[in-house]
Amino acid sequence: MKPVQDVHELLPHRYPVLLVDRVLDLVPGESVTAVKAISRNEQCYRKVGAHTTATHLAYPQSLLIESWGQTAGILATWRSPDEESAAPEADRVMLLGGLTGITFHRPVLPGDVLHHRARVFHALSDTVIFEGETLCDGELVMSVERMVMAFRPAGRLLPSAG
Amino acid sequence: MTTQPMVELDKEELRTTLADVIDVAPAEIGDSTDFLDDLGVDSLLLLELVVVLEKRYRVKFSEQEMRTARTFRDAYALLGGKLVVSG
Repeated sequence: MKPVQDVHELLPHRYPVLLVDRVLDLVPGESVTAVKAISRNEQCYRKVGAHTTATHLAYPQSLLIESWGQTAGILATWRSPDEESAAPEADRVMLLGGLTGITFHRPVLPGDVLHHRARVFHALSDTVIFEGETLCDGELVMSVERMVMAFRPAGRLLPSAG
Repeated sequence: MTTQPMVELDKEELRTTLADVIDVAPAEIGDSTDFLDDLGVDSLLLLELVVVLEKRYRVKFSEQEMRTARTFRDAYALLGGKLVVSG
C-alpha cells in the first residue's frame, strides 16, 4: 500500500526540522520506508562557505538520526483513513527515549537521496522500539540496532497555558 | 511427569546479555542488584532489556511483567518460568 498523505499531515514537525520528504511505503504496525533528500540549501549548511572540504559538508549525524526517527514516528502514529481520527495523537508528545547500536557507514553529502527503513521491534502502549537502516543508492549509510520512542501526555511536558 | 525447559537457561549468559544492554561489566550485576536503584537504569532502558530478552529467548512478556523485573534474580526467575511454560 502507498499512503498518499503529505508528511505535513503525518508529523507535528515543521520547517526547519521536518526531516522527511515523502513516505514510499508503509505497512501499519510493521514497517515504513521514507525518503529524505539532502540539499546544499539545508539550514545546517548556511554558514559553510565556498572554500570548503567534503568533511565540512557531511550531513550532521544528529540530524540523520532525527530524520530516521521521524520516519519511525510516522509508522508509530499512522492511522488508516477509516480508523478514528488521529486526534488523540495531538495529546501525546513523541520523545526519543534511547538509542543502541547506531553505526554510521559513510558520510552523507548534499545531493544524496536517503531511504530510511524502520521496522517495529516491539510495541507497547506508550513505548515503541524500532530497528532499521538508512540507504543511499542501495549503499548502507546508517544502521540502527534499536531506537526507543516514548509517548507521553503533552499536559505533563508542556508549560501550562497562562 | 516433569516439565523440562526446552532451552537451558544459562545464568551467566543471561548476566552477560543484561550487562551488554545496560552497558556495565557483568560483575556489576549481582543476583540482587536492583537495575534501577543500583545501576541507574531508567524505565525505558528496563523495557529495552526485557525486549532484548524476548527476542533472544523467543518468549513473550506482558507489559506488567516487563515493568516488574527489576533485579537479576527477578529477570532470571521470570525468564526461567517462561521457558518451562513454553517448553
